[in-house]
Amino acid sequence: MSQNQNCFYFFLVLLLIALMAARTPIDSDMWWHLRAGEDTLKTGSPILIDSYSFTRFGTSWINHSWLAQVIFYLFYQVGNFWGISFLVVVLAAASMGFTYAQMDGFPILRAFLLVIGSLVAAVVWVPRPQMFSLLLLAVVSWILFLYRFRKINRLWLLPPVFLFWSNLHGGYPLGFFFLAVVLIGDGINQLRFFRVTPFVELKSIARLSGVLLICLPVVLINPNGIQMWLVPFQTLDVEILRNFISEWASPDFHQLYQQPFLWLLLFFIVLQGLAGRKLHPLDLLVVITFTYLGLTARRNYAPFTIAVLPIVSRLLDDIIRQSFTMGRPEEDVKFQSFPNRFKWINLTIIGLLTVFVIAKGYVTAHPVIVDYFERQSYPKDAVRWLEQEKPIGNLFNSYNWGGYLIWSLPSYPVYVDGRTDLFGDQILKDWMKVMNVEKGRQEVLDRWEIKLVLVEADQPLTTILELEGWKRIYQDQIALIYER
Amino acid sequence: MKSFRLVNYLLPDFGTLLSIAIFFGVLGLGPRMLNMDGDLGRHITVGKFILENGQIPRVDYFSFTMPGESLVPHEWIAQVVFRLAHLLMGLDGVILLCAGLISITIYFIFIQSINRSFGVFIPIALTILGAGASSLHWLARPHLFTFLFFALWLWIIAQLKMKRFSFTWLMPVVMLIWVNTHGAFIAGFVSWFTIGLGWLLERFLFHRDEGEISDQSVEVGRYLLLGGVSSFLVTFLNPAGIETWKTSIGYLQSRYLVGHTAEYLPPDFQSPSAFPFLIMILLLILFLGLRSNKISTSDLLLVTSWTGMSLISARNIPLFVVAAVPVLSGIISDWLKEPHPWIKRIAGIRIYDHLLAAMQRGMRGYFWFPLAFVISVIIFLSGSKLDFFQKGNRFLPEVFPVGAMDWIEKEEITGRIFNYFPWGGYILYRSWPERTVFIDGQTDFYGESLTRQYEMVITASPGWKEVLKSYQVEYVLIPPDLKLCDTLALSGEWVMFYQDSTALLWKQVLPPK
Repeated sequence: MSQNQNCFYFFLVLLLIALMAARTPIDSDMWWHLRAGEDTLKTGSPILIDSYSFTRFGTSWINHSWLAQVIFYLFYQVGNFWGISFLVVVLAAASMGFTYAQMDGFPILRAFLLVIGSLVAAVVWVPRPQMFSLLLLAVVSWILFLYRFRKINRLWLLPPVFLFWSNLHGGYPLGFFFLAVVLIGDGINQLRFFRVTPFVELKSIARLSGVLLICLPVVLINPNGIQMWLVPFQTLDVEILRNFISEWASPDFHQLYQQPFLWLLLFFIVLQGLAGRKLHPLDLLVVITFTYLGLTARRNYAPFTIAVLPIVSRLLDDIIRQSFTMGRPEEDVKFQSFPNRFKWINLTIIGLLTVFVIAKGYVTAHPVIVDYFERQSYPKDAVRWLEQEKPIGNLFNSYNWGGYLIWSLPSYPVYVDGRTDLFGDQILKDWMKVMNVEKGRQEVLDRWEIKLVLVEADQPLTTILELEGWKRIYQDQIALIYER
Repeated sequence: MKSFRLVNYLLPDFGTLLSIAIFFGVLGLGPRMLNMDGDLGRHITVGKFILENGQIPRVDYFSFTMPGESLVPHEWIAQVVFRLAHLLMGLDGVILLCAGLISITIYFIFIQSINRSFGVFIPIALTILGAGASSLHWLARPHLFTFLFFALWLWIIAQLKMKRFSFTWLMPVVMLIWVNTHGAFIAGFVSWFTIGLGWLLERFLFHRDEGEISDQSVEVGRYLLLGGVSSFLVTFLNPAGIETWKTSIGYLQSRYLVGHTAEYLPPDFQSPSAFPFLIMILLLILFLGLRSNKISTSDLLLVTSWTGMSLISARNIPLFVVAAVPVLSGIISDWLKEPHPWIKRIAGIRIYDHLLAAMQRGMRGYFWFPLAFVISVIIFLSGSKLDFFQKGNRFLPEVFPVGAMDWIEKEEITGRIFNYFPWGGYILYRSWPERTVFIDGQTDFYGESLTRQYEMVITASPGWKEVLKSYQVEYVLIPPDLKLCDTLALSGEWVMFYQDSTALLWKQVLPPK
């Protein structure tokens, strides 16, 4: 296979991923990240005290994504929503590109698998700092791939990667987790029975352990200091998170968009059965741990893809080679590569796809389209009305709209938004009590001196509010505002 | 020699021991099985109708929302059996029946596992793990018959793969009973298809070495086809004919109903009850990756397909267990046969395991299981309880509206009652034919339209009043923690008629002038 062919498939698949990732850049958490990014740039220092909600106003906030917020806001400032969309596309394509670089087999096969993997990962391709975590996980995985398979030592890159990671997103433990799995896997492979290629010598494992020890304190170099070590535990400690926030919930494969994870998992099991060979202990550990993570929380679909796809490609490549070389020595089998006269056709395809990507990116992030989706999902007109009429009092809001209100209605601090680790169990449980019309809701509304309620028009809460004498002061198809 | 034979017939084999343990375990969970699901009451009531009238109901007699509508009785044998068990021993009889069905299924799983294994430890451990995984869906409902028939079905296919073709006739016989007992008979055809596909791939694509895989001969394929086709034909021998197929498949096509029925939801891996299933999936990945040879394509496709279906719907986990435990036992046993350097260290255990397996083959003390059954019947008849918390096999007043129904019967209330969905079966059990229900667990009959109307009322969404009015509902029987309670109280058109910690009964009054 010529280098040109390799490049062609690489760019082809990157463009296909870009085409998939170029979507209207809207997410319920994006808004408060933008606000925090803007405030960080204005004040010149990361926002570490909450001023966006009245329930946590003035308390300390471990803002683990401050650098990502600044980057997102800078892209927004430069290119409006096109800028954000561009950033998401670049991060998605880069993370999958690093994954592609670790895959085995014919380029067309790798390209095909990567597209399948992208369907799994695409669930989390949204304008949020976790996109940086995806990219950096792929980078860590690629550095280790070079070290283990290609004997190229780029381990010195790991400390700077972790330095950035701990300032970009709280998902940096995923990197340590991956490193630990590699160390354990290669450690098990030292045992005579388990020994499978690639065999990493003890000296190399010791060197990697040393780098891991350097990376651990590096993550403390951030505005939150030692608190950064506690972030993952604090987030996982929020009990209500798993029941209430869909990305932390166990998979629901009734949803079509979640099914690619299932198909990839089943495909892997079938490949394992057909391959008829032992897997490297590291590969087994990676698959088992990331399958566990994926089955316990949907947000781990994308890390699963990044970790497992290279292993899938190696298995599939083995099976195909076995089938082609049946009865013949493997070295006799030559796979046909395309002749060079196809170069212009390939370039045309790449050019056309580039045009499609640019066109899709332009259309989907066009202000008119963004405005349309904003009106479909967020209380844009209600916010405008509140700005004009300025009714007085604390505002109880829908969870999904908290971030949007922080961005578009800064004069009204919110009751709750997507910063679950800041709010903790109690405030979120109280919020659910009100929304689900449970006993004790009145006490919650009284305690926080709530005068205004802004919720979705189809919420059952609205029926009760009206029966309890709240006055409906605004309504449209998306939102209702009540006052008492 | 004679005494040796007698000992053989006295000693129970490990499968029997395991079944007895599971049997008493299920009896221990009796109240949980009765109270985790509300459909049992409906099944006993339909069984009662069949036995009393000598006919299988083809139209609805049980609701006031869809009376006279065409009904597909795809569970009628199970309903009759439940009713008979209830007639004989009340709810204790129902639990005995369930425990029997589950433990016989476990026995089939175990014997299939041990047939693929060189010892007993792995099959025992995996069968216990599988029982833990499937216990998620141990409820007193007709689907327990499906567990048993599915295990039996796979056992027959395993016999065909071992060229014991005289078992072929059993496939249509099992299917004939299955299709009249529970709508999930389709599971048999799904497995038949995947096993058949595996056979085709082995034979025509993978070209395994002669003898490497035992199930790729033409004869096996021929008898598999014969068994499958004849079984398919007998599926039409049921009171509703082709409608049974339409109902079973039609229900699965309704995204709304499937999405709103608890048992069809995917497993929640954050709940400890799903951990055994998760462990089984991870074990499957682990041991497929550890072994250095291929496995039968039929087995691979069977296990993969049921893994997928169980991840989509938790109700398929018991079927996954039936399919996966024997295959996993085989995979682990094959791996242990490989020349591991550390194998010498466990040589003693392996010898012991082999010895027990040899003993297992000689043991014939099957009578222990019927004996255990008879003993538990005697215990129940003597008035003792066998459940772990000594609550007795009854519908618990903290789960079902026991007090409210006592009061309704005492006051001879006859108006139409809008009921909480999980209580529909219990209301029928308590007071049919005097009272019919708004809805119960037979969602494939009530359909999406009525279920949506029910949801509208229960969530007090706009339009709830109109729904109640259109069905001339006079009473509402719901739990006190529903938002509908506040709505009814604040509306001024409903007054609380009865109240306890489980249920509130609301009566409609004329709106204030």
